[in-house]
Amino acid sequence: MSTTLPTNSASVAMPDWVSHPKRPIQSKLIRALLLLGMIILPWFLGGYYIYIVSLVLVYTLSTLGLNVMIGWTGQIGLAAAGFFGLGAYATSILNEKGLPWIVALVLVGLFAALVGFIDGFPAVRLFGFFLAIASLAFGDLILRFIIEADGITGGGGGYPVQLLEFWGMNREIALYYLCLLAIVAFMVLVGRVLDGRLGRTMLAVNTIEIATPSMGIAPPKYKLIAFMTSGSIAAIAGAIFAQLLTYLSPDMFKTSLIITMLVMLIVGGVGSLWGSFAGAIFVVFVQEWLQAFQVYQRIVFGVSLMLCIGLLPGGLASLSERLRGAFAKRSGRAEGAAA
Amino acid sequence: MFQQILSGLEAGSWYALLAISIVIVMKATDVPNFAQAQIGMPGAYVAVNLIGLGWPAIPAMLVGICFGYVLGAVIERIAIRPLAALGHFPMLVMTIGLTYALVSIVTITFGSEPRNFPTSWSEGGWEFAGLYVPYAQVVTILLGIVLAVVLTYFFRTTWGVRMRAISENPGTARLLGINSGLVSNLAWGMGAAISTLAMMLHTQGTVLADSSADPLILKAFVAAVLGSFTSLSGAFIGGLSIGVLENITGMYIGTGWKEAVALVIVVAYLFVRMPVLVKTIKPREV
Repeated sequence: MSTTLPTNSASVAMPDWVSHPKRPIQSKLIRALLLLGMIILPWFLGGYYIYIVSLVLVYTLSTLGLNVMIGWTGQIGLAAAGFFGLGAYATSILNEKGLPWIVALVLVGLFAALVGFIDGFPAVRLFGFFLAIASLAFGDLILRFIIEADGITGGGGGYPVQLLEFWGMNREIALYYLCLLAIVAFMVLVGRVLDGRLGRTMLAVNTIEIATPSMGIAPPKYKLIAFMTSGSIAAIAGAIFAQLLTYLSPDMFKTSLIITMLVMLIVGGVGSLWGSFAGAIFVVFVQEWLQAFQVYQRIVFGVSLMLCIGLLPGGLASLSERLRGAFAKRSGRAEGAAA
Repeated sequence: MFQQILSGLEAGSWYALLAISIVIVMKATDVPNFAQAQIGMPGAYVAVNLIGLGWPAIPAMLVGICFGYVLGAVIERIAIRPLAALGHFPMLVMTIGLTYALVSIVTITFGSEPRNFPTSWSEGGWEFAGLYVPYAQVVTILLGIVLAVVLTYFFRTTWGVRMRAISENPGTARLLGINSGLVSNLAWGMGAAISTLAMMLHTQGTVLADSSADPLILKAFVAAVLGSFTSLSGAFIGGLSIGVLENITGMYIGTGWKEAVALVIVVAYLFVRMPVLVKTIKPREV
């Protein structure tokens, strides 16, 4: 099956569960129209739906970092929920202490990169599952710290976020544009970087790690870069999430959040930036649709994870390639029969 | 202090049993099963319902354990084996999906209100020299030790050696005529059966609820890491030490920090032991 899929620019054999569609949305015109559509969206949607779309954008951003780490470098780091919480709490607290929000955001982004460095440190030497557990524990440790530092975070009781003022603009719409700006900026930035040398090097570290030192590539360096990037992006997403939710509680950043992120990543498609967007739409839709039924929400998430990884590795993002492949195969067969 | 250590050993036995089942699954299929605690839930609920029907505790628990075995084997056949060729990450994600699916199925089937899990030994205990030793704790700790010993010997039998062979080098093991599917099926069944026992011991005398499994799994993983995911005795001792350390921390530092003990242990251990672990793990083939 994988043989019919076009391989990525690094032209190394990727595992089946990673899809790196070269350009799922080829035309610049379509992208420009999509962006325009997103920009004028608030004129057509009511307050609640604006909030929902903003949530989708924030979730997409949070998954972006995870995608860089898992989809490109192949490191199974599961601390993203902790970083998300770290960003949410730290930015809000710094802002409350008098720092301008945007300065706090940059500082927290840098700090999260440093924490990501520490989290990624074992990754330099550890293989898959040890890393998964170490990073899962690390993320939980961040959360535990937030709970115990109840003097500044409010502990288990929760923390009311100091809300941003948008010069008299409607708060929901202003927040929506903040989310849109953040996601477009990061999509372009991360997309560019991953298309270039760094992205190719990361793919090489993922697939042919053992051969990379002979090419002058030091795998630990690139793994650490992936951990720092993903920590930083998750923290920035968390900071915006805090503004969106207006009230924080440690419960929001429990292990179940990392499962939600994995659902977005896997259902959308590992290795596809647009896939994360599709995954986030799926997750937010299920969350809102089954808001009152936590159990059914969980079963939908669990089963969709299982089905996607079992039957549709590559996620929604691989659908177009798959369909194209199926058509090509059928027409190819027809030609063969005709000949 | 003595009381704290004893309760620590009791909690440690749950972690240890779960860690042992994680190691067994790991030995045969080379996947860390994030659903290892949750996979024991349906069997525990079957046992509770049988006790509710008037069955004595021991036969009910045995039926529950058998149910757990069958469940584990079925899950392995349907969900895990088809993914074996795809590598680690898909199987890991599958087990994460399983945690949600299993717990929700339990909630939908058996309801979310906590259920009593009475056994004939869940009340009472020995009293001597001012110390009180509940029967339940003794049963849990003894069962843990017995199982650890039995399983250590099991891995020296033909089936145990086959399991180890499959995990170490699946290709060569298959060439030697070992049925890898059968071995992995056996491992998942055994793992699920032991998890069922662990869940029942965890809830005996207190209550069984659909959220019982969630807090256990990370600690069980930490215990398994302490055994490098290969050593049964390491996982067992690791589980017991986590339980004891947790209780002592809760007593002397504060109950809030109790939950952090296992997390600190695993992060610290992986930092310190890293070079040793790297030496024992063979490099992947190109």
